Amino acid sequence: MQKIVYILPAVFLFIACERAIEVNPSDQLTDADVWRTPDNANLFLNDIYNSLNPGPWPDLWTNVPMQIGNDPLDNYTDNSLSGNIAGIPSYQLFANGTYGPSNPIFGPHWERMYENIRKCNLFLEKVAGAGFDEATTTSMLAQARFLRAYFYKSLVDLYGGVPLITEVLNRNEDENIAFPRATYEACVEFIRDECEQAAADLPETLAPQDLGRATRGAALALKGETELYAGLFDEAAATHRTIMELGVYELFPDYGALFYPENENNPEVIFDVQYAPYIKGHSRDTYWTAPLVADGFGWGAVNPTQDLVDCYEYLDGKTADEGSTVYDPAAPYENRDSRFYASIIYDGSEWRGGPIYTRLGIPNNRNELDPSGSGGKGRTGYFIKKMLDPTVVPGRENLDNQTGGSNSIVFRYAEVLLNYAEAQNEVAGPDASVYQAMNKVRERAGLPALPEGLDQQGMRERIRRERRVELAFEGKRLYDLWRWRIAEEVFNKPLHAMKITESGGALIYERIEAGGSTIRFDPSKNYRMPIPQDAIDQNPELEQNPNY
Amino acid sequence: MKCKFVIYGVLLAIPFHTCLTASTAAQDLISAANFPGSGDQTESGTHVSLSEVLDALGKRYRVRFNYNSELIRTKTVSTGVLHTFQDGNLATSLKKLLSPLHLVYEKVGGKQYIIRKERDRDGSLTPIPDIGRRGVSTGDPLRLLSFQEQVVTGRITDAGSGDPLPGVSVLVQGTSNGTSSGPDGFYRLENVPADAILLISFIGYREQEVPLNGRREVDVALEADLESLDEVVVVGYGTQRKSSTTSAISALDGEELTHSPVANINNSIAGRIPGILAFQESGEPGSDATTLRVRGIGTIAEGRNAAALTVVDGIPRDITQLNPAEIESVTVLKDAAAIAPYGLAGANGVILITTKRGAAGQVSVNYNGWYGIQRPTRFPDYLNAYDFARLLNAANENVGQPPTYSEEELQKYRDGTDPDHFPDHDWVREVINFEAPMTRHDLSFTGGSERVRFFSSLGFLYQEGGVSTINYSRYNLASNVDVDATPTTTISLDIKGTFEQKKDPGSTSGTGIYTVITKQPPLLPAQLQYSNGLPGHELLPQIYHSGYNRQQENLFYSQLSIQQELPFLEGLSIKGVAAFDKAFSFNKHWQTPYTYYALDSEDEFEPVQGGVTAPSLAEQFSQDQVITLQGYLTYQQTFGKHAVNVLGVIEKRNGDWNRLGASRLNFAVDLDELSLGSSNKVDFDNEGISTESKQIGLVSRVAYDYDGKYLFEFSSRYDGHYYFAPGKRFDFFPALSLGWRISEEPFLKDRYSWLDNLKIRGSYGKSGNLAGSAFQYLSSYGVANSYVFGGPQYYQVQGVFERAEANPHITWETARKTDIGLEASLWNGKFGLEADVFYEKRSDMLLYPAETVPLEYGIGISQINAGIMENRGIDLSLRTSHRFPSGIHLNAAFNFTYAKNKLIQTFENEATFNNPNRRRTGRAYETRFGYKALGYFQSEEEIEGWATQFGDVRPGDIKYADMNGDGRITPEDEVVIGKPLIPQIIYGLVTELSWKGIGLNMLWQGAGSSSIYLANEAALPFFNGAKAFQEHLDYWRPDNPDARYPRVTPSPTTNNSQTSSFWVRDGSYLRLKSLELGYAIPQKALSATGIGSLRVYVSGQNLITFSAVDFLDPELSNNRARYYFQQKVYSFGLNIGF
Repeated sequence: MQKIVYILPAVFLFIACERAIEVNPSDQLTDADVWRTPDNANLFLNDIYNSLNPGPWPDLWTNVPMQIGNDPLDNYTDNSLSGNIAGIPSYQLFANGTYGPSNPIFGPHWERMYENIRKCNLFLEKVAGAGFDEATTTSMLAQARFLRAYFYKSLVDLYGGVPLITEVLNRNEDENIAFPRATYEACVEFIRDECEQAAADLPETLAPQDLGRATRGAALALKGETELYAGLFDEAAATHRTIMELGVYELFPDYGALFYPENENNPEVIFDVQYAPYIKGHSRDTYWTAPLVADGFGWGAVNPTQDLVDCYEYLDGKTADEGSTVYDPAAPYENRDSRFYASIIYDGSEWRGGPIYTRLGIPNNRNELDPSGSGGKGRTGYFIKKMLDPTVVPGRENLDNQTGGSNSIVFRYAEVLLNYAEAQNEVAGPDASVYQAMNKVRERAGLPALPEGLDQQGMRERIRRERRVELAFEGKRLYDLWRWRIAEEVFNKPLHAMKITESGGALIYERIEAGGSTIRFDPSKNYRMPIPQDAIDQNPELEQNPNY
Repeated sequence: MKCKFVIYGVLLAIPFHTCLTASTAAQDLISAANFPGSGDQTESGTHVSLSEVLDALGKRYRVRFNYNSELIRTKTVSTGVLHTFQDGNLATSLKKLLSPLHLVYEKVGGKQYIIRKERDRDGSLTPIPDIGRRGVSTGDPLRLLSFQEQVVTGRITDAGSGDPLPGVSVLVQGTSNGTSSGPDGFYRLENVPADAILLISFIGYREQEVPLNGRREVDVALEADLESLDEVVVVGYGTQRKSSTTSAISALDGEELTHSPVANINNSIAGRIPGILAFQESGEPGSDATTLRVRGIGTIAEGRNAAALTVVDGIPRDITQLNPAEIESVTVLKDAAAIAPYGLAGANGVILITTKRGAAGQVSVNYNGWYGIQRPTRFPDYLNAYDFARLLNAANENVGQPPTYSEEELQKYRDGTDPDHFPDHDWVREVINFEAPMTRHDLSFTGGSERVRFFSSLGFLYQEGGVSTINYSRYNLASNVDVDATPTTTISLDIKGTFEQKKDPGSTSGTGIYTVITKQPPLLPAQLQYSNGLPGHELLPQIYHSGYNRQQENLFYSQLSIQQELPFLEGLSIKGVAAFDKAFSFNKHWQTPYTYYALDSEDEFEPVQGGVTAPSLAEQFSQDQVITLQGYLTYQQTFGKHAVNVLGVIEKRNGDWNRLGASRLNFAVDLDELSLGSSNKVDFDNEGISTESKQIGLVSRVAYDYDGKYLFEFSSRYDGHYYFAPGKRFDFFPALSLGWRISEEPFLKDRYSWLDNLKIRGSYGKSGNLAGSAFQYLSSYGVANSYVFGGPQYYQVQGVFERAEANPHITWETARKTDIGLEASLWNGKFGLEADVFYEKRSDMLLYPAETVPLEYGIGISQINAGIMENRGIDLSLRTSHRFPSGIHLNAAFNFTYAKNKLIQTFENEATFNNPNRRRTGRAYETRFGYKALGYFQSEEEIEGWATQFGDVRPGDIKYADMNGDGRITPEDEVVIGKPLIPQIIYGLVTELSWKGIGLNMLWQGAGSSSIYLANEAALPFFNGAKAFQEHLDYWRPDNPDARYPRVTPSPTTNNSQTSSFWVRDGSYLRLKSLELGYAIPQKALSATGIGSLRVYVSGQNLITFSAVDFLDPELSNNRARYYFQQKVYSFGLNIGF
């Protein structure tokens, strides 16, 4: 009774008071607001662009996409090794071959890509129904289509076929929200179709304020690379020829400077992920730089292998093994391919206002070779130079700002040329167009043209070496090793370092095995990455890749 | 004899109350409109007894008078005085009544008055009230004459602390010859027969009878009455008599908090109150507050949503900045009945803090100050350069690599002849100040008249960190005034201001410094400091030359309350409270480049620039404002044996918070002002955001007791909060509690005189807890800075993104709590016991229904109210007090809390759910899982014959159990390897020993049933090239198969770094949490100085610790041991009273 006496008035009081505690959130927009005008809808598109990532997302450590992180994708190849740092996935999981569904290397990638795909699906659905004018709608849809295809490709590259989801799922309305994996072929077909459609509607060039958006060339490059990776050589050759015929792209004269911020969006760049210091910066320059430079420090996260260095030709177009006449064992770094000097820091090379020594015997030197890498030193006797911005002082970031602002190039014209050469060589053998494309790339590097009369296999080998050198550290090598099915040969044996000692005033160069550099690779399963166990656990329709 | 408060006021409606043996004449007198003088009817002629007068006044004004019955037993009042009473003015009447008797009164609460002895300015002697000798019987005059009368002096102290007790009544038994002690505890009594017996009594202490036996000097140590049954305790939105509470609450005297030399009151609460589980995660000045969990962990919510509600003087407020010297009492509300008034905010328990208020009397001044030094409690014994280098060489040898250091190099590390190239640095001791100062000074004033009373205090605290650039300072000012505007109206105004400042270096932090010093090996070329003093590593310039990061916080708490008794219904009063709280915080972060040096290849010192490339400054300002309005209605009445107590409160809280920040980069000049920074707009940045919050609640409480034996209480809150969707915003949180004071039953009361109190109580109720965040019910888009288009001329665009799916049904967590308690007091309070058994079921905890959507769904799905957890345990406290014949007095209190939770429903994936070894459901929250270590592989054959583990496995590596027998160690093989980090058991023992002014106060505090985990640097040597401990030398070798550590390798192997039982350690500990040894200087020594009292003391915190891991603090919050270590403190202090 007493209770009722209290509660009744209370109830009346509080029904009246419901409004007294009404608060509207001050930082959120409603659905109606967002899709009212193209300007508003474009804010959503901006966010999809902001989800772009160069390379997959690793599970451990800094948890930023590979190509701006401290363990880029080439550390998972014979091109480079990471430092010996606990938790570095290439060292701890990949080299040991211990990655699997429960401890994947690219754990968050699966979920993040599907988040991005949902954004695209939502955008496509909402914009299609928004009633904006046709030109606006077409452009917006084409960009979203390209972006969705890009996200799918980054999944397909790692895992093979993945569930193809093209609409916004709603668990309260849709009967089925658990999709099985589509076949690899179906995914490739999907990406090709989408790129085709996008390419038709996208502009060839962009106004300066729009640089960074998708273009026709970008859609075609995405399509072409997909085709090449899928072994669809006819299609790949045709697609790349189309890009070449657009006449929009050309090689940037300076291979090293092509990656610098001041040359962003130069005519060689087809598509890149855009960064800007402080605003949307990254820490790549700190991660990748040698441990000690004159005005700062780096983590030395990318140690190029001797095996890669050996691939850089001498100026006579031959490697040491091929009997280069300008190769001097006492001065192995002279007379090299100009890309060598733009890509690799070797013993005695100048960087950031001082020489970097990797030779043994110099006191107080944290850059010296230590094959085990245990002292935080270099494991190979080399450090990376390519893609580092010489104006960024590494290790000196402030106020939580990331000072690296160089863009991460996803597709550039040199790759188009090499892709074309490879596809065309597979289709028709080394015809003139193959030579032309290859020699264009070599010419910029300061190398002589390829010798005439190569057979298809000979050309294939030259293309592969050219590709390894030209695209080193750009995150393409792992996929190349996989699709060429040569990973099992390249791995399972030690990679090499250069030990340099001084004796009587002369330097002695000695090719040694880098400690712990044998990558365990199981061809029965490792040509695909395992699908994270989380994904499998939450979708009974998902089938794991074989043998994981 | 028993000292007790006699409470008569409530008995006014009992017609035939047997206690009222005295004549009712006084009542008649006072009841009559004009106080007719008819004293003839009284036994003592023109005098009536004071107790009768008070009794009558109590009835008339419907108030209660609390007093020591001995104090007024013999006091009488001239009826003439009664004639001067003015109707309707109780205060005046009381003053007229009590002043001649050297008594004063103090109003506590709305209707309670305490009557006690007047305190004298100079104290030792109060003129004997001569009315006694003339008026009432003074005993046998012949007897008085039969012995020589003499002067007796002495000192009265608190037996527990040894502190002097002022205002204590000293009376010659059987006479009205008495006095009270002065501020220093001294008294002087004349005309005392040599064989007299002195009666010493004081509120809150047990009365003593001391036979003189001819002595002239009698010092008396009074024992606190531990079981003050009529002690008033603070409860939600009011106070209650301890004897009639039916809920589980524990209280702590604010005085106790002052025994710990710490900055934060949380750190002194731990271990002193039953029902609180505590864990101190850090020792960093300004952020070292112990996490307090009332009855353990009852929810999976985190941070603020897992913490107890804290209330200061009736208003929900943060307590961490409070000055311990301002605190009168700390009360912990534990069960449903106690927390029901807090509705959806109470489920994690409530900590109520009441601050000190003024008392009528002379203004007294008290100063307390101490100075101490701090150092880390524990840290590992790290290897020096030589031992480190040798161990690394051994590790290299183990993996077939050449030694890193040659014999010559080892020798150089050993002899230290070339420290610039072969350094040996003890980073911890060289960087950290092991005598980091800490000091506190408090000054308080209190006093006032009967109608206006005040309390003011001023506090200052300075705590320096392990390096001088990390420090914390706090200034507290508090002032409150109570005014009895009319006899029925009390107005109170409280103001508290706090200013605190925490300073850090610009480019590092406490944790950053500890990370470096616990990680850096002693011998890296990038050494701490070269022999010429130049820094070789960036740590020292970071600490001393990288600018500063200053966080200032201003807190302003204010409240005005007006209480009015209502004339039209007896026992009814209303109160209105308006509180305005404001917090301003201001951060200024100034970073400058710094320089350290590297030796180049020519052995020249080459400067290396570190930190920012050019000075930069960021400032952030935020303000938080909360307005709380409360309206109280209380009704208290007794009808015969029936007593009712009703409370209704309506409360509304509105909050506003906003933040504004700005920064500039690339300062050309070294002046740390925003406007003086770079004028290039690219270097500018700014931000601003605001939020708003609203809550409204209606509290009610109805308590009823029959004859003080059968107790019933129903309390509730109807609560509404803006977090949720319309229609989902309000709920009702009720609780019911019952109590039975068995000791009041005739069959016990009369037969067992040693049984002071025995009460059984029980409660059940529902309460709530906010979790998640506001607006989870809304489907909407967030806005953020987004992509950069436009190449080198980039400009950043904004983006909008879909927020996690909305859940319109989202609501608070619901807790259903049951509690059964027992309270007992034996032998006049010599032993006290309070024990509770509790059970809580928390439901509607927010969970992501993880298993229901595929990862490909692509958006964070909404949380749902689905988690269920139960939490059960006991808390108890035991108290005893004993005075040994030697004069040593012991007070001891032991408390023990055990709380163990269990997840009843959680969403875990099938892989763990279907495996009984891995299942999280049904286990304690945050139970540790990992592989079960089976020791080491001792041979290659053993490895061959075992399941495939991780990477390259060798003898001396950890062997794991293959639980599912599939020949591979995979996550499928994980099992429970340890308990959660937060202890499930906390206990504390407070002992107070005193003897002749010397007092020793100790708190031993322990924890049990928890596990700590060692990982990375704290586990194996050379993790990323880090340090090694002395302990690491005991590593596996064929000739040391039972080593403490696995085979040593130049970097930890993948195999040995797996999460496994190998690295789990028992988290139990016992520590001497605080100790204080004090000495009160005898009054004799002070009498010439004008100082009332003077006490000196030494004290310490975390002085001794016993635990399983003896090289790290057991409250290891970061399993890599990379955090600001807990501190031990040694201090010296002084307390002066005037």
